[in-house]
Amino acid sequence: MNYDIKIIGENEDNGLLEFDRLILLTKSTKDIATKSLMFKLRGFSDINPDKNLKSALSMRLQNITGSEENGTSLTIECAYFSETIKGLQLEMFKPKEEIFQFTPMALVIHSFQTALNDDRENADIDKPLLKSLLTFKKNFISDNEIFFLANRGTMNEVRLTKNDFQKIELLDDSIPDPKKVVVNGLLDEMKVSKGKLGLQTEQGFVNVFTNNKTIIENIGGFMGKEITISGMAHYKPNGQLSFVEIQEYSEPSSKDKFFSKKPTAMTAQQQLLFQAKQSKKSSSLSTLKSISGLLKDEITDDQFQEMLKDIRR
Amino acid sequence: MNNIVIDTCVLIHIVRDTIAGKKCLEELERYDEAANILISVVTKAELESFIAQNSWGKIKTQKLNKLLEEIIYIDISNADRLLIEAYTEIDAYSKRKIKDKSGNLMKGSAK
Repeated sequence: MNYDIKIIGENEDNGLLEFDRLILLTKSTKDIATKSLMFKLRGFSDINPDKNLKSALSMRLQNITGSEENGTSLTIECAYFSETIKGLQLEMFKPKEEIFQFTPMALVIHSFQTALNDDRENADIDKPLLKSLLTFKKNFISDNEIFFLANRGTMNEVRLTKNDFQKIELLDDSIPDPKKVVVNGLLDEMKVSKGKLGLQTEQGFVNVFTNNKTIIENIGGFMGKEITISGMAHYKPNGQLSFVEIQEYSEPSSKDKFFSKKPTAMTAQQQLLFQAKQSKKSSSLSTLKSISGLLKDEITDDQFQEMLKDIRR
Repeated sequence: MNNIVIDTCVLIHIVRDTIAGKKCLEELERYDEAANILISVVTKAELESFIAQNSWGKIKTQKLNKLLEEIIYIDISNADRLLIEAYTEIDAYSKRKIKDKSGNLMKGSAK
């Protein structure tokens, strides 16, 4: 499948591409493709691909043309993942079928489309991938330049100007930074090849991840048992937990249930939206009115004054 | 529709049906009839503590809990910068220590 990267709008470099720019363009584009693939396969983008996946991420510059009138055009050739991953590592990775429809360059286009979509709350993307998208901004040498990323018909093309990166920065800002957490629950799922684990906690299911082979080999003894895991919580744009990256684990102590909960980092606004979607809570003034006077005869004036004082303490 | 967070004091005045509680309801209604009433998780904990301290009867406790289930609770997250900034501003205002852009104490701060 062939893709085009077209650059127009800067007279000084229209129809040409300085060598240093070519290096930056290829490196930043490849980095987005790599992180996007790892995100699709593993749920976290900041993981180095193994040699087979690196090979599947091949992007070949087939042609470069340009003129002062039409700008600079690069033709990139990529193979579908259905040809490169499916046969090779289906048993190991069992990726979602969706990934087979993509090529590395299609993932780049898809990542920009996701990050530029107005539905920020539901953007399926993580912070390291967003950082890579933001690095692409360095390819612009002026505010006038426009980059087009297209695949000749099967996907909508992406049109990028420097201003578009402000939107990506906002999305990046909306994702809470990873933070250290402790989670306690029942270890009831393990995918050794992916480094993925599933923890059933009192607040719901938590995805746990590790890149450390020693951890994944040794943690198997806890399968079906209670475990306490400490690590870095990574969040989604809507403030909900994406997964916890394990740093340490241990047998739970009696206090763990109290101090270790499924972490979220939702803002008040996000909680409101989330609760509104999840339940039929009315949260109206009429509810408040209906509890008016409920305590009227329950306690004396002195007790009531004592209660108010208690709150102000 | 406006989102209005009510504090524990307001809620207690309302359930006790005091003059202040009636006034609060009137003010809320005047401000926005379709207001979305929110309560902090701190208020929820304070109410549960009151119930325990005052040995409420089972029926009254159940009735209050059922009604409170209808209200949205907001957890406090340390990642919620806006919430912390809003608290800082309201707290300073309520203690008459908030300053305007010129650095002067803001007039009309609550007591």
